[in-house]
Parts: sequence; structure tokens; C-alpha cells
Amino acid sequence: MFGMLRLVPSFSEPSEDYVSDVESVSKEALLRRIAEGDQQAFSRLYDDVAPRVLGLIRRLLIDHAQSEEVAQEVFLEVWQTASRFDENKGGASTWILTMAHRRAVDRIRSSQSSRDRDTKVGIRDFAPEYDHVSETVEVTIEHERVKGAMERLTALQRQAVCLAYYGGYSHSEVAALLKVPIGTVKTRLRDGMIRLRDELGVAS
Amino acid sequence: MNERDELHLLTGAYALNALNETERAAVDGYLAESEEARTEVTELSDTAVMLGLASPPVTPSPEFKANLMALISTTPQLGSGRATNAETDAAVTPLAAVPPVPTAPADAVPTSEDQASIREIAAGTTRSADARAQARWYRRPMTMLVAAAAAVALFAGGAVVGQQFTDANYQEAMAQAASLAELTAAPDVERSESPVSGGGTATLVWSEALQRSAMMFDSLPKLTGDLVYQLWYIGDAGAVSAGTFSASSGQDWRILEGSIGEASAVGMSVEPEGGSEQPTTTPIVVIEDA
Repeated sequence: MFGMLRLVPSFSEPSEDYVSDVESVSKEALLRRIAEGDQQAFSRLYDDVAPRVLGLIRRLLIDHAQSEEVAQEVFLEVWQTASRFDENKGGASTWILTMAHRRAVDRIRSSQSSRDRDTKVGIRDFAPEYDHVSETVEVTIEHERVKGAMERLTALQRQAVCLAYYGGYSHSEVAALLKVPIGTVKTRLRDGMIRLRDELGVAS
Repeated sequence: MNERDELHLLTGAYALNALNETERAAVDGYLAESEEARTEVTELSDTAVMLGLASPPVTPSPEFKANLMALISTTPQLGSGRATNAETDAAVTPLAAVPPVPTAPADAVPTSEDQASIREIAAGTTRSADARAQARWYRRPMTMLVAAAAAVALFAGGAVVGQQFTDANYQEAMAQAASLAELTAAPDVERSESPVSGGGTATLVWSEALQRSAMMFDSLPKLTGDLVYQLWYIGDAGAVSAGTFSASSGQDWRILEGSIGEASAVGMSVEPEGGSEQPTTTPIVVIEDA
């Protein structure tokens, strides 16, 4: 059933600045073992991806305690639904980080209280915000690449994409924040993402 | 512009999770019939993941991992063989009836939102046929998950813990959690589950290599008065105490004190506070470790 391994995009591999384990076992292989109930494999996959997962959630939610709660939900979901992971649809990192983003966004939208984070988030740009995160212990290769690609977007595309992805705002909220028609936001989000895709060389 | 074009415009917002549920469902419907759109969405989703990977990594505390490992060790999985064991016992506690952990402050207890999101997992897993087949046992893990989440909330936030435990207690709790995490991740870990007379279930988890055992409990009744549960190593030479505890609500677990040595089983009895030298009541559960 495991068939041929799909070549995963390079970004889902551990990057040089983020060396994971001495013995190299792919995250996809670990997920297959996790699906069989292998807790040791879960432990290893966790070590591989946890800082990325918590980093992303923290970026959206800002509040550390809430971020840990959501990260816990994500890892429980990984444990419970590992058998649903389909390599043909993408790599393990993609699967897990997509889940993490979705849950962080769900948390933002379901919790009115977290709306007070608006004042903290504001309309922020990509690079300056990053530089102010005090927990930064390492600058990832992905960060440099994304930063470079972001600079290729128009300012309006960049704002829309950052508000949506890092702010967790829906496209109608982005429209309200930027005071532009919703149709314009849809276009900016799509054009911005396509531009990023091309700049980052992401293709399936 | 026709409807399909309108929907195609949403691929960017879709990949960024920037749609509401209705819009998302509409795009899902469109994706089902357009391969071109599927490809685009896959690529843009991969691109979104790049944005995610560009966020500054934040390394969770060791306690976070220890609690997580403890949690998964009692959380059945979807579609795995092991999970069918969880189906054995009867009562499915309604989600709403799960008691909050009494010592946790209100904001540390799972809210209805948390429960809703947990139901969401359950709902999300019932789409395919085999998921429906699993639904029967899957309801219970969801219940356990809520109870466990409540228990973990105690450990999760440093501030919360600080109010509940003295430093020494906290350190001890963390050491226990780390010990359990190590045990459940051991290469040779084995487990055996058994009902407890009087209610609930007990699972013995052990590793020969680590010479360590733990008992995990689900829905163990609370004891009244000055009674405690006492764990025992049971072998040809008789019973040796492996520690006492009083049950808290929902889920609980204990690392057994001492070493199993030549003993062939682990049992538990109800004893007066402080424990006994030898069991003074009939064990309410005995699990063979072979």
C-alpha cells in the first residue's frame, strides 16, 4: 500500500539549519509507523516538527498558553489520524503545518476574546514583525527565502497575504481592514500567492 | 464572470484558510470537478506551508512533550488495530457530563469551544466508510480526550501550575510525566488492559528494558473517607507495595514505585490511608505482565 514514494518538496525536508535526527528516517515513514501505534515514532516526529508547529501557531495566536493548547490539539490529531495521511497529496510537513494553521485560525475565529489581539497585530508587514520576536533562536533558511519572495509582491498583495496567513483574518476581514472591496482582496490573495509560488519554485 | 470563475478566484484565499465554512464548502465542490483548480490549490497550499515554515520556530518545553506523550499513550487512534481494544467497555459518557478538574481554575478547563473543536475531529473522521465503522469506539476516545485535556491543562501553563503546586510537587509531577513519556516511548513497551471491579478500567504499561511499569486508569471511582488505592507487585513470594494514591476524576496514571523484579503480576486493592504492608482487601484488579 505504500507504493512509490513521492518526491516531497525540498522544504519539507529538514533543512541544514534545522538538523533533526542522527539516523535519517523520513517524516513520512514515521507517520506510517505512528499509524500503527508506534509511540517512539511519534516521539521522533514530534522532535522534528514541534518547534515549527508551535512557532507557526504562536505567530498567529501570540498568546503562549493558548498556542500550547492548540499545538497539543494538533499533535493529538496527528496521533489519532496518522492513518489518514496520504503521501500522494503532499509531504508530512505540509500535512501537519496545514493542520496547525487551520486549527490556529479556527481558534482565532471561535474566540471573541482573542479579538483584542487586533491591537497587537495591527496591519503588520512580514519582515519587521519577524525581527521583533524575542524567542527567535535561529533564522531559518525558509525565512530568508520567503522574505526574498515577499519583496517581489506589491505592497498591497503583501499586506493582504500577511493579514490572511499570519493574522488569521478571513478575506472579508482583510477587505475591511484594508478598506478595499472584497473582490479586490480575492484577486490580491490569489495573485500574491501565485507570485510567491513562482518565486519560491513550488510546483507539484 | 460566471460562478466557476468566481470560485476559481478563491484558490488563494482557500490556501490561506481565509474563507468561511460556506465559501470553503463551495470551493471544495468546485475542486472536485476541476483538476486544474486542484493543482493550483495544492501548489498554493504548499506555498502557504512555506510561509508557515518561515515563522520563527518556538521550542516547546520538555513538560509539554512529556504531557503529550502521556496523553497519546491513552488516546486510541483512528483505524489502527490497537484501537479496537478500546471498544470493550460499555458506557459512553456524554461530552457535557465530563466533570472538569476541580482544582483547575475556570479558564484552564476545556470550554465548550474546546469540546466543539473536539467534536469537530470526531465529525471530520466520519466521512469515509471505515471511519463510520470506527465511530462506535471513537466516541469514547473523544470523551477521554476531554477529560485528559482537562488534566493536562493543570500542567500546561506555568502560571496555573504555580498556583496549584508547591515547587517540589511541581518538580515531582514533571519528573513523573517525563518518566511516563519515556516508558510509553520505549521500544519494548507492552500493555495490557483490564476492567476494575467497582468501575473503570486499568491498563498496565511496562518495559523490560527500563524495568519500569505504570498503571493508567480511566473512570476509576473516587474513594470515600480515609481510603486509598494501593498498587502491588504480585509474585510467588507474595505481594510487595508499589505505592498508594487517591483517584482524581477522569483519567489518571501512576508510575509504579520500586521494580517488578520476579513478580508476575500487578494488582491493586483499596487500603486505609497510608497503605498497608500486605493487601487487607481483595484486589480489585490484577494484571499479568506476560
